Formats: sequence, C-alpha cells, structure tokens
Amino acid sequence: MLERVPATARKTILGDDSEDGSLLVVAIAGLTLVATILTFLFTPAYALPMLAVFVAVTAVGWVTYQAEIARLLTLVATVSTVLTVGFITAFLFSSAFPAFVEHGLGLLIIPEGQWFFGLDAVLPVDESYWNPSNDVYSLLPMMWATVIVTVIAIAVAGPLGLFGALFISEVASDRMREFIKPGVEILAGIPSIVYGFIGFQVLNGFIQTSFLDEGASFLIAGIVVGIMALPTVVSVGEDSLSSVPSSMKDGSVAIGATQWQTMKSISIPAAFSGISAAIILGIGRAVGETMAVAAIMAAGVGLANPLFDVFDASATLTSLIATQYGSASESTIDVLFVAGVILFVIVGTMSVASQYIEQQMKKKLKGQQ
Amino acid sequence: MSNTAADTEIDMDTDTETTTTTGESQEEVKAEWTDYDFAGQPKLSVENLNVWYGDDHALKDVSMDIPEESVTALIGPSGCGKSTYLRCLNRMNDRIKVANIDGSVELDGMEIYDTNTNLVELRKRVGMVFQAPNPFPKSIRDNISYGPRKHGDINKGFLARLLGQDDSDEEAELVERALKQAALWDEVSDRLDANALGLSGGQQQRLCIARCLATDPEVILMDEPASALDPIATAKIEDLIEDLAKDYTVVVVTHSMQQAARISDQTAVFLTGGELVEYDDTDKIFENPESQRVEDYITGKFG
Ligand SMILES: Nc1ncnc2c1ncn2[C@@H]1O[C@H](COP(=O)(O)OP(=O)(O)OP(=O)(O)O)[C@@H](O)[C@H]1O
Ligand SMILES: [Mg+2]
Repeated sequence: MLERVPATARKTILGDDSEDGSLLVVAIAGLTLVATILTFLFTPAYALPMLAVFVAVTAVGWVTYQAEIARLLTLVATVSTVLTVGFITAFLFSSAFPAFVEHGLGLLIIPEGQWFFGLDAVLPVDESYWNPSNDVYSLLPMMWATVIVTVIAIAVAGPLGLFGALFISEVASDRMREFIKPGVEILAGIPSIVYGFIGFQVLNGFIQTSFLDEGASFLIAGIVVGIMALPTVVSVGEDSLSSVPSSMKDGSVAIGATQWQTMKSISIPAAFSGISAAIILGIGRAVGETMAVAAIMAAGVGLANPLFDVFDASATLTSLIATQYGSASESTIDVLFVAGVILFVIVGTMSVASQYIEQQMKKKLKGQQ
Repeated sequence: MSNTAADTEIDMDTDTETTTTTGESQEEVKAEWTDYDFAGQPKLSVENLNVWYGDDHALKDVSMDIPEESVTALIGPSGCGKSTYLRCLNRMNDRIKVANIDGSVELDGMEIYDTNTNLVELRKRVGMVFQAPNPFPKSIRDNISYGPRKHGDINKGFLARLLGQDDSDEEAELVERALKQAALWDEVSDRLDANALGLSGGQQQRLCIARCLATDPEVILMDEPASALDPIATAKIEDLIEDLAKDYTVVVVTHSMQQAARISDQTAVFLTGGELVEYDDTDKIFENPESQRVEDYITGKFG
C-alpha cells in the first residue's frame, strides 16, 4: 500500500501518459513555486526575483514537456483557489470566535443583562441593542433588518423576474430576444453602488416628497436590492425556461391548450426549481453587495417598531459592517466579524440551496424522480 | 455509390414514359396519380400545399383529400416530408419559425389557414400524436386529463371542490378508458400518480396516444405511433387504429409497409423531395402502383 503512494502522487501530478524526463522539470517548477511562496512569507523583498525564476522554469518546461507542465499549472491554480477560500473562511470564523466567547448568545438575541422572562411574547422594541460605548452588542436588529429587506427584495424580484423571463423566452420574437437577453446581462454587471445611489437619490426622494416625511426605509432598501437582483433572476430564469424541451410545449399546444395555459401548466412547473434557484442566486448576491449600499442610508441600530414596519429603517448586517468598520474599537471589530460569519452562513446556504434546487430540476426533466 | 444515384435518375426519367401514354405533361400525370376518388365528403381537403423551411422546399404542391371515418396511411423514405405534411393539418408548423406555408387546407369545408381561425379550437378537433413521445413532467393521470382540464371539461382542484364541481370521478373514468384504449392500463393502473417521465419509451408512446384520445378529437394525426413498440403492443395499437376509424378520421405515418397495408384504407406515397407521388386505395398502391418509383420503393429497391 505504502509503495503505491509515490506512484499515485506521480500519476496525479503528471498524468497517466507522462514522458519520462518530465518528472525532473515538473519537480523543479514545483519547488521554485514553493520557494517563491516561502520567500513571500518571510522576506517579501525577494519574492519577485523568485517568482521570475519560477516563471522561467515553467517557460522552459512548457517548451519541453507541455502536457505535464500544463497539468501542474492547473493543479497549482486549483489548490491555491481552494486554499485561499479555505484560509479566508478559517480566518473569518477564528476572528469571530473571541466576540462569541465574550458575549455568547447575547449577540444573537437580547444583550446580556437585559433579559426579560426568557424570549417570550414580543421583543422589546425600544431597548438598546447596539451601543459600543456601553459595551452593548446585539446583532438581532441587523439580522431582523436583513430578513425584512430580503423578503421585500424577493417580493420585488420574484414576480418581476418570473414575468420578465417568461416574456423573453416565450413571448418575445427572436429579434427582440437577441437584444433583450444581452441587455439584461449587462444590467447584471452594473456595480451595486450605482443601484444604491439611484435608490437613495430617486426612490427615497420620491417617497419622501409624495408619501411620508421620513427618510430611508426598509421598503426602499428592499426595492433597490430587488431591482439589483432582477437582471440575474431574469437571465438565469430565462435559461431554465428555455431549457424546457419545446416538444413538451408543442404537446400541450397540440392538445388544444392556449399559450398561457401552456406557460402556466408546462413551462413554469418544469422550470420552477430553476426559477427559484435564479431568485435565490440573485437575492443571495444582492444581500452581500447592494444591501450595504442601499442600507447605508439607514444608520439606526434598533428594532423596527412595530416589528413589521417597512417604513422604519435600521442597519442590516452588511451595512453594519460597512458603516462601523472605520470607527470601530477592537471589541466592536470582533463583533463585526460575527456579523460577517452570519452573513457568510446566510449567503452560503442560499447558494447551496440554489444549486441543490437546480440539480433537482435537471433530474426532474430527465425523469428520475 | 454513384451507381445507385445514376440508377435512380434513370428511373425518374423513364418513370412517366413507362407507365403512361406519351403526350401527357408531367403535371397531368401527377394529378392523375394523386387524384383519389371516394364516395362521401372529404374530412380534410388539401390544395396545393407548399412548405419551405428557410430555402429548403420541403413539401411540393401537395393536393389530397382525406375521407372521413377511415385510416389514411402516409409512407415514404425518411426526410420526404411526411411529418411536415402532418403538422400542416393542425397548423403545428406555425410554431416553427423558419417554416413558410402556402396553400389551402379545409376541415369540413372550412379553411384552416384563414387568418381568423381559432387555433385552439382547431387543435381540439385535430389531435396529434408526435413522432417522438413527449409526455409532460406530471403524473400519468395528469397527463391523460390534461386536455379535458384545459378545455374546461373536467374541473379539479381546490377551487372546484369549493364550488362543489369536483369531477374526480369522471376523471378517473376517462383516464381508465383512454389508457385501456391505448393498451397501457394493465401496466400502469397501480401507479397513476407516478411521473410519466419514468415510463419506458414504448409506454410513453402509448401514453401520448391515450392523452390524445382523452380529448376526443375528430381527426387523429399519428406520426409513427408504433415505432418503439414490441409486436404485441403494436398489434394492440393497430387494432385500436382500425377501431378508431369507425368514428374518427385517422391519418397515420408509418415506415412499415406491412403496417400500412394492414390498417389503412388508402395510402399516400411521398418520395424524396417532398412530392406526393401516388395516392390511392391501399390495395391498389401495394398490388399495382401506377408509378415505377412507388413500386421500387414498396418493393425495397430504393428509398
Ligand atoms: N423544424 C425544421 N426546420 C428546418 N427543416 C426542417 C424542420 N423539420 C423538417 N425539416 C426538413 O424538412 C424535410 C422533411 O422533414 P420531415 O420531418 O417532414 O420528414 P419525414 O418524412 O417525417 O421523415 P422521417 O420519416 O425521418 O420522420 C427534411 O429535409 C428536414 O430536414
Ligand atoms: Mg417524421
């Protein structure tokens, strides 16, 4: 068993059909890479020359043993990606650890010392939840704000995204689709600060002058985040709608169903999981990015009062990190890391859920239940 | 290879001469061979039908009347336009964007290519079983009752129950009748709630036949309905088709000469290039065709 390890390692790095002399070149390239990383860690000044050595060795290897070197490079790229993400995750969680040890569950619910009779009935809305100068830290209002904004965003992006995707895939003519689809994809690439800015300048001003006197609100943040997610939802949703085989739609139409009945009973159900995946994906992205921008306008850190008041405003997890980071003390930063972990878990869960749902859809269309 | 092509060419050149009196133009010959006289009214009457897919002229000037309450078989080599022709009869070709259709098709004397034809009504009257089975990703039961539910003939679900109009019993009856007709009932009666996509290819094919029957159309278009079936199921479907012809007008595409000979009353032969070459009583076509090319095709000399 043990003797086979070098052979397996060799196979992994060089491939089954490696040429004999290649091992040496690949080994040298690998060693110079490791050396580069080590010099970067300990004497950064010499890292650049070391990198040049690595590039030179790789270049020589590329000429002599291209297949093996290419294999090494893909391996290096994969390993470094996985390692980087792994380190970031580990760093995030370990940085959040001290605050969690210090404040315990108080971070997630009502701050220590302010407990009522358990967590019964209604949450005390006018308590102080966040006051770094008094060492009062609870992320509850921000979590709640994140939930409200996300729900509003889904309410905006879900129906609009579905109908937009339906229009592009089922109603629009070929020529229209040629213009709209790329257009929507470009929209998805607009930096979120632009959406946040538009939301603040245009929507907020409009709502202030026409309805209420108050400033920023969950409603506006939710609408802006929803609009930000919309292009992603439309684009991914359209992909899943157009992956419904046209023979199925033909079957429905040929039986005397109307076009709308066909969309409702064939296309949407068949693409349902793809569409929900699209919504989750779009919102998940927006929660991470736009919500910071959109909710910066709300610097308050209390619970909405009453709880479901969408015209109220307070910081969300994302905007808390963005606004507090600059002026934060050591212990506040620790708490911000906890906010980061919560966000990480929320968005990570959403993205895993979206992928799971999409897999289910593929299975469904292939007929394995 | 080049040899065969040359042979075919010679066949085509000599075709008109060998079997008709000289002096007739090609158009007259064609009209004579494809003109089929029958008693009674035609259910479908096709005049000068042409179909192009882009620049590809897939169906050339086809005229044929289809009598009601009978089985009409369409035969011909692959790619000769049989499916194209069939799709013209319920305007499913409208859904192919590159398709260009010219000509006239009348159903009971009413032009279906009129601009104000109600396509939904047309397709209720002219049902279709596709060449490739296309069950919906729903339960077997929902597949069968799909048409009647969309037409409003069967009400089901929460709202219907609320209004006291739940037709679940009728649905069950309909599902059983349609599945029995399509010779599928015995295999699926214990799993009507299972997803139809989990059925085998041949079962899916019969499910699609049952689905079409459930909507009770007047004309049934079948594109190779038995292509994926074993001999026993094939025999059952053939019996079904003959049975259906008592009340319905059936048009069936098949690649099996024996099947066409067994089940059909009249046969239309399409040949490469999208032409209808000969259309007559099935017996006449198989025993004594006018066209040399048709005879060669039927006897397997070229396709
Ligand atoms: N959707 C389409 N787009 C473009 N061309 C098409 C389309 N459908 C059919 N054709 C072309 O039209 C011609 C006739 O096709 P059709 O499907 O009617 O043949 P068929 O007789 O049914 O053949 P088969 O026996 O193989 O089913 C072929 O040359 C085919 O390439
Ligand atoms: Mg065909």
